[in-house]
Formats: sequence, structure tokens, C-alpha cells
Amino acid sequence: MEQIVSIFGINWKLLLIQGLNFGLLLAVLYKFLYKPVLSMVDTRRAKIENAIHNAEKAETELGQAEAEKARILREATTKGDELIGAAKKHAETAEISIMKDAHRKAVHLLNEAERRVNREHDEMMEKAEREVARMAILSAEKILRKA
Amino acid sequence: MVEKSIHISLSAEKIGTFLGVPVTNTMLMSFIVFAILWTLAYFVRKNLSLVPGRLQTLIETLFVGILDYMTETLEDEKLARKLFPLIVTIFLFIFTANLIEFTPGIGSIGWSHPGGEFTPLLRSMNTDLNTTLALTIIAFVVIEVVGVATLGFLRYSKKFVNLSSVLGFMVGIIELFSEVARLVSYSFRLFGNIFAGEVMILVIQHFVPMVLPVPIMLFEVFVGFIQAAIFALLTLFFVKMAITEAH
Repeated sequence: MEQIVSIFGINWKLLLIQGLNFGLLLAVLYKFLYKPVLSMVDTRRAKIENAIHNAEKAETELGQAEAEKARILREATTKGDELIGAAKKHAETAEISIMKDAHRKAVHLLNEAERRVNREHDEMMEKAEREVARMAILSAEKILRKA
Repeated sequence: MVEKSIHISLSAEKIGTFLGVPVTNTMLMSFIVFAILWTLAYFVRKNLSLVPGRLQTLIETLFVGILDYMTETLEDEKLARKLFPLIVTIFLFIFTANLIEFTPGIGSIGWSHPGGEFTPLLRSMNTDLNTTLALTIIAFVVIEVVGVATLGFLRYSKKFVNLSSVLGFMVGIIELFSEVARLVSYSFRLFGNIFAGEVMILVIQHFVPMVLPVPIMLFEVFVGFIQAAIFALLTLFFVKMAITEAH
């Protein structure tokens, strides 16, 4: 053992120095190389993860907005259809009532006119009869005077 | 022929003393590796941004890949995060040292002693058992600590002291031995591979100084990568074994 130690020049001081050298190297590389590089990788990974997450969120939100839009459009269409239908119905009933009114008025006017015409006709006939009678009397008087 | 033989020293050469502590050429080398990695880390950190550049993408991909692999192996994300710095530092430290071991000047700049002995100023870091043993001890301590922290002291020690049967007891003893033998196998595996590579290149350079060493050096760089990966991976696997309960 002693021989091995002396042949290979093993010396606890040298061992210690080599060990310390390695330990120091480990510390330096940890501080300057491993930690910054790995933390950089981690930071980037976190960033990318975040970005992907955000994109997914935006996509779902977009989908929801799209669905909302379609729903609103559908509702608006049905509501509009309803409104138009109601207006049409209302207009139809109004038209019918106006027509009825007009018809009634027209009939009424017609009746009135007919009545008036009849009455005037009667009056005229009466007047004419009276005139004819008077003329007849006058004619008779004239004839009688001549004779 | 002026040079008669190749001088090979198993131990690192002492180049001075500082405050009573011997300074060796491999120690200097490990400080240089430290400085290189610190500089690289500093530049990477300075250019770090949320929108990554090419280098950052590469580093991030590597880190995340390693972290994912560790998570898969340990089946525990928190533990993987905690151990990640250690495993990667082990790999980077050993790999950087092995990568620059053939830089011109390392092993060739130095001074000769009157007796003809040559002392290089710098020497490949992992050709010193002190370095590999220090790394091994750190890995060993981490493995044991993680094991005890995860399983609790009693359940962890059950792996080694099993009194339920004779066979179980024997298995426990073997486990204990293999646990301690790791200290040797870890440090000598790395040391032996890199040292053998250095010696092989030295020998080849001695005979064929020009072209032939190049592919060998290329191969040694590959070996250096493999050894760094093995050291880091074995640490990971032994942690996994330590946190797995005995059955």
C-alpha cells in the first residue's frame, strides 16, 4: 500500500486541492452555466405554454361568440317574422273592416238616394197631375167660352 | 542517439511548493481546465437570450437531452435536477482535460535537471492518480449520500448487512466489497486509459515522429471522450443503484 501511494505520488494535500478545484468548478459552472441555461429553457417553456393556453382560450371564446351571434340572428329573424305576420294580420282585419264600412256606407247612400229620387218622383207626378188637371180645366173653360 | 530511453513517471512531477503544499504539473493543468470552462461558461451566460442563437440552441438541446436521460434513468425528476450539475461537470472537466492533452507545449515545455531528467511544466490532468482519485472520492461520497438520503440510513445499510439468511449475508458482504472496490476501479480506469494513451504516443513518437502519431492522437481524443462519458454515466448508474432498494 505504501509503495502504491509513493509510486503514484498520492498525497492527501493534492487530493484535497483537486477536490476543491472540482468543487469550485462545479459551483462556478452551476452559477454561470447550468442554472441560467436551464432556467432559460424553463422560462421559454412556460412562455410557450402560456401562449398556447391563451390561443386555445381565444379560440373557444371565438367559438362562443360565433354561437352567440348565430343565436341572436336566429332570434331576430323569428321575431321579425312574427312582427311581420302580426302586422299582416292586423292589416287584413283593418282592410276587411274598412271595406265593410265602405260597403255599408255605400249601401246607405244608395238607399238614401233611391228614397230621395222616389220622393221627388212622387212629388213631380203629383205636381204634374195637378198641372194637368189645371190645364184641363183651363182648356175646358176656353172651349166653353168660345162656344 | 542522444536520448537512450523514454522517461516515464507514474506520478506527477513536482514543480514547486506553495505554502507548504507541493505544486505539481497536473495541478496547474487542472487550474487551466478550470479557467477554460469558466471562460466558456461566462460567454455562454453573457449571450443567453430568450430567443436562442445557434450555440445556445446546441447547449440547450444537449442539456435538456442529458436531463431527460437522467430523469429517465433515475425515474425521479427532482433528483435528476439536483444531480445534473455534478454529472455534467464531471463530464466537462474530464473531457476538456482529455481534449487539450495534445495541445503543443503540454508535456514538451519544461526544464531538464542535471541528471538528464526532464520535468514538464504541464502534464495531462488525468495522468495523475490524485486527480482521478479526488473525482472518484467525490463521486463515491455523492453516491452514498444520495443513497442514504433517499432510502434512509437503515434501509440503505440493509443492502450490506443482511441477517435474514446466510446467503443474504454473503451477498451483503460482496456488495460492500464491490462498493469499496469502485473507488479503485473508477480512479484506475480513467488514469490507466489516459496514461496508457500518453505512453503509447510517447513510444510511437520515439520511433516514428512524424505522421503516425496523428491518427493515434485522434483515437486518444476519442478515448478521452469515452472515458469522460463512462465516468459520468457510471456515477449516474451507481446513484440509480444506490437509490434502488435491496430485494
